[in-house]
Amino acid sequence: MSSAPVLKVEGLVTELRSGGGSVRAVDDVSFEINAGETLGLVGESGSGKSMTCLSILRLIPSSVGRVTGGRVVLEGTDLMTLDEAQMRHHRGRRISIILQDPMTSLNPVLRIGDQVGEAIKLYRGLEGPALRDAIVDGLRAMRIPAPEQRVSAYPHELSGGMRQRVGAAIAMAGPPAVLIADEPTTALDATVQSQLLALLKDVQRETGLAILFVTHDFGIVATICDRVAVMYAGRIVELAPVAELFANPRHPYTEALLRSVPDLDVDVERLYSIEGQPPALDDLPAGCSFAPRCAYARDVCRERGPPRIEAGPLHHASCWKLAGYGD
Amino acid sequence: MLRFTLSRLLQAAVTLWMVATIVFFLARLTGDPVALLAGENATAEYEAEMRRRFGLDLPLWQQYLVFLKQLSMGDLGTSIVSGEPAMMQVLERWPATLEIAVAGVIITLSLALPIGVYAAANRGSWLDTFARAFAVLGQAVPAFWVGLIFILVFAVHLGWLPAGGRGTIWHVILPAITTGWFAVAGIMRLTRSSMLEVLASEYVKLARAKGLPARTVIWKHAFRNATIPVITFTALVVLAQFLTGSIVAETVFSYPGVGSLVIDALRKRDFPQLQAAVFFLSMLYVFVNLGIDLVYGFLDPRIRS
Ligand SMILES: Nc1ncnc2c1ncn2[C@@H]1O[C@H](COP(=O)(O)OP(=O)(O)O)[C@@H](O)[C@H]1O
Ligand code: SF4
Ligand SMILES: [Mg+2]
Repeated sequence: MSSAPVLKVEGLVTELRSGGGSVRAVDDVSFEINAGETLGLVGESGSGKSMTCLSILRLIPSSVGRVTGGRVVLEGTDLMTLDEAQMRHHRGRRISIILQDPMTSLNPVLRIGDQVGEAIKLYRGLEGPALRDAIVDGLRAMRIPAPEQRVSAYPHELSGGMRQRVGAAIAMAGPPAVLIADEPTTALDATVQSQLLALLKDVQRETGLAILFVTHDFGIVATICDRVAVMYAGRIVELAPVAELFANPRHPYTEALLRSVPDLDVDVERLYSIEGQPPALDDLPAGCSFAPRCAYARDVCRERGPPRIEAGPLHHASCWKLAGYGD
Repeated sequence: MLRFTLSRLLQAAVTLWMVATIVFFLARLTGDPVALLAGENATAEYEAEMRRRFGLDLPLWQQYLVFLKQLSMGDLGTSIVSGEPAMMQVLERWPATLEIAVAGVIITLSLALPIGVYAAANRGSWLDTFARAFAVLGQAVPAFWVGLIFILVFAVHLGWLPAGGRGTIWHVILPAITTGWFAVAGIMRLTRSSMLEVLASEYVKLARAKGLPARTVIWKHAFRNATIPVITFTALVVLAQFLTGSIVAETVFSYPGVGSLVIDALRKRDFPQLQAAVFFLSMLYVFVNLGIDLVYGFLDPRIRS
């Protein structure tokens, strides 16, 4: 594992249109990912994980919102300074994405071979028989059985797991330096899920791929991630190496999330879930967004945003409690 | 697929039989053709003789059985007015109707599809706003009125195009736009909303994430999916053009097609001619309907298997 960050996100802000005004779905998000490393991004549904992914790729539709601040440095290039044509040159080729739902993320009217092939053709300029061979190789590399036959299949003829492998073949066509995986296994059953995770790990070992792995499943975090960022209401509230985070969570939200992890050894009744609802983005409380649900909240939490505290090497969290409530 | 085809053919036959039956009885509600044909001074014997000749002296149910028997052998009877086989007139006039319908569809689609796609891809732009306003206008104004306005503007005032009749390509333009008018607005609106839905889909998001140019994303990935619901609507509109559209436009522009034949036959109470013309239009309807299913299968592989 080399240690040069291939992707560096700094102070990313994305504002979405909401009513007459705007809300911050991504608020001052920063992280780095090194080659060969996997950074997990966890948080409840609606916390802004997908918006973070799309912002990095600059794929937020203008009718939905736009990135209003920050830098996304990919292999030394700040993507936010590029024009659309230059940006397109990086999309897929150097930074690619696997989407959550394999049932809807492939085009239903195009053959598998075409959908993989158009990416390979675009990135590597292959044509004719060479392109056809590359498509079959790409499918085979993702361990899709009988790839020669799959080329002419349509998405509806494949299972969810197979489709997600096709999605992976498209994502790896570049091959890219960074892969964003936005909950790629959430829609799959457990066996298929672990096969796909194993596949991604193997691909990473061979290619030195950096992965941003979005999930809300700590079991997956433990399996595949090196470090993990915890997101709440558009902000990263804690970031730490996986073992460190599990052993020593510092932010009250992380603590609560970890307590809510379903433990297969205990009765269903004893499963813990976090009290209350995540806040609506257009109605965020002043100060710490988590305060209404936090057992440790004090007055200062409701008045001012919490400071970022270095909790150890490579470990930081944003919370007043860690700062002694400002005393 | 064979079973599917056979069942669709059976359905088509039943539909045609129903149409034939309805036309048969409705036509006879319009009155007695002999009174019209024979004139006011005809003797009672002469009228009775004519009635016998056309088989109109038989009880209604016997007339119907004779009609069905002939129909089953592909015989649609003889025109009371011209004395020629009724189908001959229809076949003579059918190319004129086809002309207008085809020109109408071409004009309609070449306006409606690009505008709909552009409006969706540039949502909120001035063209999008204009297109939506136009769509509302287009659907609020009846076709015959549009036809009359066109005659007034392009034929009478400007003198650019002929006001009626058939002969050159210039004769086709106004009736074609008149029949297509209603459809442009509808197809454009449907294309736009269908495109908007597809553009928000996950596979279009992935196509963009691949780094494909906007052109490819819109035409290769989005358009084909967006046309699937548009096809049905377009086909139905084409059918409407064959049926009501051709009748309206051909009458307004005195264009000698099957549509104006229907009106003629109705006016003269020429039952066999009316039956033949309507039956023919219905047959087109049924065949186009069958065609839609095949086109669907071509566009959407999920239906094929
Ligand atoms: N297409 C959209 N239009 C408007 N708001 C959206 C859209 N997609 C997501 N959002 C909002 O952005 C916020 C973050 O959503 P998202 O990034 O999808 O969350 P996550 O991926 O963590 O579940 C949510 O408040 C959600 O309501
Ligand atoms: S800042 Fe206060 S409210 Fe927010 S998590 Fe820390 S203790 Fe809880
Ligand atoms: Mg999401």
